[in-house]
Amino acid sequence: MSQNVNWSRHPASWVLAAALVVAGWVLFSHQRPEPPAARDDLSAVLRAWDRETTAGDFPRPASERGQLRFPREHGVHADVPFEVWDTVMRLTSEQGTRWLRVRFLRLAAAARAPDRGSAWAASEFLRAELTLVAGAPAGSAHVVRNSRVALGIAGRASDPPKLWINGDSLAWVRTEASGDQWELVLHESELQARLQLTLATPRVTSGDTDLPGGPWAGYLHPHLAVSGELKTADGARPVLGTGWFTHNWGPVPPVGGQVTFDRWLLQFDQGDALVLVQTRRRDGSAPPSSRAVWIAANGQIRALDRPVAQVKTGSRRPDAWSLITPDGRTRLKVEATTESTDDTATDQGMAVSVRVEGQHDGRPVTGWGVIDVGSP
Amino acid sequence: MAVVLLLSACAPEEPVVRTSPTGTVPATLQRAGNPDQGYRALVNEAYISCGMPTAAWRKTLGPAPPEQRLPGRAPGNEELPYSLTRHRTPAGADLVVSNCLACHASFFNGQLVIGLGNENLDFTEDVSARAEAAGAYVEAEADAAEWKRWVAVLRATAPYTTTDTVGVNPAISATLALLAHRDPKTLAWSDTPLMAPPPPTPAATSVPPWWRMGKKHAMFYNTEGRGDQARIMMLGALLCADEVATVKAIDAYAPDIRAYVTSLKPPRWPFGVEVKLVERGRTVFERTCAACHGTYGESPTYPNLVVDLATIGTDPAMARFAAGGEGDRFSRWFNGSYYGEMAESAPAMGYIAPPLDGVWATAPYLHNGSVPTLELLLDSPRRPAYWTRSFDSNDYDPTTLGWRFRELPHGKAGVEDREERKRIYDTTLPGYSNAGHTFGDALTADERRAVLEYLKTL
Ligand code: HEC
Ligand code: HEC
Repeated sequence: MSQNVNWSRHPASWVLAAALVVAGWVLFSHQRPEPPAARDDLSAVLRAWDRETTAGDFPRPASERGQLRFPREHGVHADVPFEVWDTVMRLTSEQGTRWLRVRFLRLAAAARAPDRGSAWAASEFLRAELTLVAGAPAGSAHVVRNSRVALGIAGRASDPPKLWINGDSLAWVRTEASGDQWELVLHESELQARLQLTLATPRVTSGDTDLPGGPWAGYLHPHLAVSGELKTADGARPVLGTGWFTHNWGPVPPVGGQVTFDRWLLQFDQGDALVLVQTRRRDGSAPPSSRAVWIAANGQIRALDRPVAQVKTGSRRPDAWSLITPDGRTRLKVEATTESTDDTATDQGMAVSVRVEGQHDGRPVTGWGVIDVGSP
Repeated sequence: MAVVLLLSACAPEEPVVRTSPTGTVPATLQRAGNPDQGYRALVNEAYISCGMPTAAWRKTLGPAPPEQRLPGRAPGNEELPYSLTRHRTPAGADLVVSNCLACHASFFNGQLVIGLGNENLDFTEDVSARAEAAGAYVEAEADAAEWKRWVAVLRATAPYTTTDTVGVNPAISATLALLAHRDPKTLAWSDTPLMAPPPPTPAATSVPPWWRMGKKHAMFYNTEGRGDQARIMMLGALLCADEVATVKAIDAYAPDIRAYVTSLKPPRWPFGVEVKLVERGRTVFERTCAACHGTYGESPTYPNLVVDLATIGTDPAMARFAAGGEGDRFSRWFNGSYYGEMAESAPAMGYIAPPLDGVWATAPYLHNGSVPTLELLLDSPRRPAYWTRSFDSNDYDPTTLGWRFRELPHGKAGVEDREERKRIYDTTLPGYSNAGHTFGDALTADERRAVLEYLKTL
């Protein structure tokens, strides 16, 4: 009789890749990013952190199995060493369209001596990454802030959920008890903004889907309504937009290994959305494998049947893709938008803003999204 | 004449494929073994020799909770669940590999029962995608080589190991797929199949309890496993064995594992019985059932009887596939391989009436697991066409003797939600029929209750 491992102890989840692509954090950055300073090299941070937190300090998180509960889950999951809140927004003003990505990362050690001599001796560490890409002439920015959690510097609260760095200069705050209204406050010299975010339904949790996963839990809002004000070097202006929100937690994601992950987040004008995770071998010794789910506007989730995602042009820095399913139900053409044609690739991966068009279940679909390409 | 002789001498030897007749299965000589050594080999040896690098296991699945661990395992296995075994390869790779207990041990009433088939496993997901993703944690060179070998096998066999219903076990079609990818003489792996693989979606199969093997003269529902049982039991090695020498080394301790398997006894009914009712039940049983299933108690008898399809009337797909010609290429592979030197694949066109020891613990019933309770096995008109259950090993109903279930007004068709769909047992699908075995239908309600009471004591 033959054999299979029973994986049922772990809920299927799309969040593995979501967590992993954190290692490829350079996003739509207009300028060639500066050589990463020690503190900004996230792979190095994760590696160092992982070595120190694998000694079984953390009990298995309770949230790993079973139902997620809201609004509680929006807050911090102190029982795991790694957590990420990631918002991708497409903002429109009279000057055109801009992309803004704001990512908060939390790394924690459960039982770490505070006087350990390492650079990350604090038992908890927050990182914020802001990336603004202008469609029009000026105003790109890429900001990384690292801080240990300490009184007056950076911190997090659960009730109401809030994360902040550098006092209140970078904050992500819940503003309404139901949990679905948030405020994003950014007060950096390069970039200032005050944005109201509404997390729209449907919400998709890690147990709902069948994408390759691991011991990560989390959820995703494929639709987000954004309004507020954005101020850059060329002035302040009101903006409106849409976006994605993902929040995942679990063990420290791996940064080496035999495979890397790409993640697609696509949002369609018709209200549907698609998440795809592709696993690629670094040495190319086997064809990539993809899993994808289609999230209908009413929240119904369906796994695409054996999706085949392929890079069409640009092998080192892909800028066109296709996605088809053998059953013919889904056929998409994906292309990088002009906003991301600049050189954003680094050895840690890249993110590409994309436009998509094609067919799904016999009707035409169009939309936009982001492809996070894992490190090569 | 001489020409004919010459020709036949030169023609490649085609192993013969025989089918077995229905009726009594004769006993065959078995190799002796030591059950204690067999248990140690079962839980410590890497007879399935490929798997996930330990480093990746630690990061993804991680240490098993205490109730899933087994006492007295060899060093290195302490944190593993009962279903996994640590394996360090000569090349220095450090792996965790599956063992037989992944399917042949299960919880009942909060207790891990070795030998009880696990009827709650979920094979509806293509595990190869997860195995591939686990590569993110594989760094050492020796580990990487082993991880690639393992994933290659899982990928090639994925269509044959992915079921559409939770609880359905894909072991048969997975094994046939492995035969298709391995050379029968050398066992060398081929990424492309060397003969036509089995049909992709595995037929519904329930995992039989091991303790029946103390009485059975042949292995498997259709008694296809004839001859030396120790060797047949090591078919699982084919997942990873790339050469005959690997299987030969395993065969050295296989008789001990068989000795352990045949020494197993079923658990005792944990809830109490009505003694008077048991006695009435025995009378009814001996009159209605014993001719096929044997007698129990002080001096038990067991007829080892294969019942033809017309008489038994249960889903014919499994027997027809194996004995109706379609499965011949797999029997030929087996009989022409190292396995065929001491054993034979000779399926019958029918199913064996199994020993009923501990049968109250082995729901759902019939070879395809299509009937949720013993009560309904003995009352065929009331069996549900569509049903679902919790797949929780504590959800046992001691009155109906089986899993608590919910009858549904519809089957899988039209159910878009895959979580819901995979939990529906749909008896209208090919291979999933709940027909047949109507021998309890003529009993009065009281007689049926008495027989159920009696079955609790076996
Ligand atoms: C993937 C699940 C799985 C694994 C792993 C597995 N088996 Fe099985 N086993 C089955 C299924 C399903 C059957 C029923 C097949 C049939 O009868 O056609 C079975 C049947 C058997 C039988 C025959 C029982 C009977 O009543 O005829 C024996 C003995 C057995 N297995 C031993 C083993 C041993 C020993 C191992 C480890 C080397 C093993 N199995 C690994 C699923 C599994
Ligand atoms: C003509 C022979 C015959 C008679 C009479 C008979 N059975 Fe069976 N029984 C079988 C066969 C053959 C199977 C296996 C059928 C299959 O799996 O498709 C079986 C299966 C079963 C099973 C299911 C075992 C399992 O784990 O799936 C039970 C329980 C059972 N019989 C009980 C009884 C009882 C009780 C009676 C008397 C009321 C009875 N049988 C009468 C031949 C018979």
